[in-house]
Amino acid sequence: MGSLDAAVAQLQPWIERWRADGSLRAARGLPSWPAGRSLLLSDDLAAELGSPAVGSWSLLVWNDDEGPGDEAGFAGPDLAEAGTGSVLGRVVLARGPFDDEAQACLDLRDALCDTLLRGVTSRSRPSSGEVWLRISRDAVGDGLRFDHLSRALLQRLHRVQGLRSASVLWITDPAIHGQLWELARDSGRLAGALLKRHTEDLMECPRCEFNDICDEAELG
Amino acid sequence: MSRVVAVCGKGGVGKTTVSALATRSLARQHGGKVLVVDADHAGGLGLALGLQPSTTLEQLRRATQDEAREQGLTRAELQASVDFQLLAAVAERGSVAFLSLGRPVGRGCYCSINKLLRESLAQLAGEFDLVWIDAEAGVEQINRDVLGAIDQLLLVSDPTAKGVRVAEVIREVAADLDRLRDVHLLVNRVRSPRDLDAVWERTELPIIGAIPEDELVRDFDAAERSMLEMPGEAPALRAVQGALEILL
Repeated sequence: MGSLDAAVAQLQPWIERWRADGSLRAARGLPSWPAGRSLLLSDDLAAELGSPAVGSWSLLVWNDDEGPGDEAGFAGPDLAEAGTGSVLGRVVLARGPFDDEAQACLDLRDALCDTLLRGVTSRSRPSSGEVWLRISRDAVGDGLRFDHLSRALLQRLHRVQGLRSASVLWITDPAIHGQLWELARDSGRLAGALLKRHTEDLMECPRCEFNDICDEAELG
Repeated sequence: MSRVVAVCGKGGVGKTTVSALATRSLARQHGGKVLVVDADHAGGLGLALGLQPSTTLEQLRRATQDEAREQGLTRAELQASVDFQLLAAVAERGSVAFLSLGRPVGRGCYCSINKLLRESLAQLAGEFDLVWIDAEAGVEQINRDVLGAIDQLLLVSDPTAKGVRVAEVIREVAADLDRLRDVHLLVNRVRSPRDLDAVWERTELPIIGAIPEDELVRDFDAAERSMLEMPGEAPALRAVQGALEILL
């Protein structure tokens, strides 16, 4: 049993519900987009999603299910329609036999910080689960959409040892964003506790910020 | 690679006003992306511009140290966190981004955090066409705290002997900077041609311009109005624009 099995079990009914009611749109293929490093300022932007002013979360979970293979989708406006004040949520469900969960968590979190695409300024903060995207007018004009981001992210995730497949979802619908916020926070804390146990020989349990969920992190 | 210009001079000679007027000019005319860094610990440039970043680099440094201590983060995760916070710390106006170093208040060892910050800041700065640094009096601080290299040094002085002498000393210190291409002196608060003559007699520093006493600047300062709104015909602004045309 993995540390985040419970979180995956909570997540899956949500996804099924959004699929059923049409909120979640599956990727129309996974087209490529040129790599590049861009620092975009406000004047350059067609879209800004998940800025610290409006809020974001990143939900990273994993298990060892067979799953459907790689898949991607999004709920809410796509990049061309999102505008400059959109919330952003990112769901990544990684599947594979991750024997060392803490190491897998580190590797997966690193992968989420490592997407460089032309016309995109991407920032991820694994410790707080924030993700922030700025998209240039040129990139949107050239047709950039979530499907391109999903492909880049999936490609990077496949460099993580043991990963068999992954699901990547982007959330810009404010209602859905609100529904998953707590799950993202709790899963992030659980991953934090897992990593803290992995990297430290902590002797001050009463003072540890993860004290309340330490037992759950030990499951893996 | 970005061009890095640092503004230095004795305290009180008007460095911050020069940087604010330069920012006003660059925001409308430069055509490329400009990063303006308030490296003076007094932190007055943000006020002069009416731009208040949500956090200073000093606050970011302390927050990152807390983060590193309290959570089991890897170096890559800390780097990602610093990159995120650094972008959040930037206040923007058009093609100009503004960043404030803030006043150092922390104690203890920040070596590893400083290294992360320097790397992130250097990478961020590298994305701009021009980096303009409003510095403290000395140039050592720039090398230590901000960026590894300065291309051009703009010394600001009023017409007083003291102001010019400090500018001379800074030039001597700056002689050790590897990448430094040129050094100029911009004379501020010039009331008459005699003021400028006196400066000519006191120094061999190449004078790039003279900024007249300007009531508009005083009024803006007194009313805490943003220098970014300074009218184009303001004599001080025109003098700074003239200096920029030569400098850049």
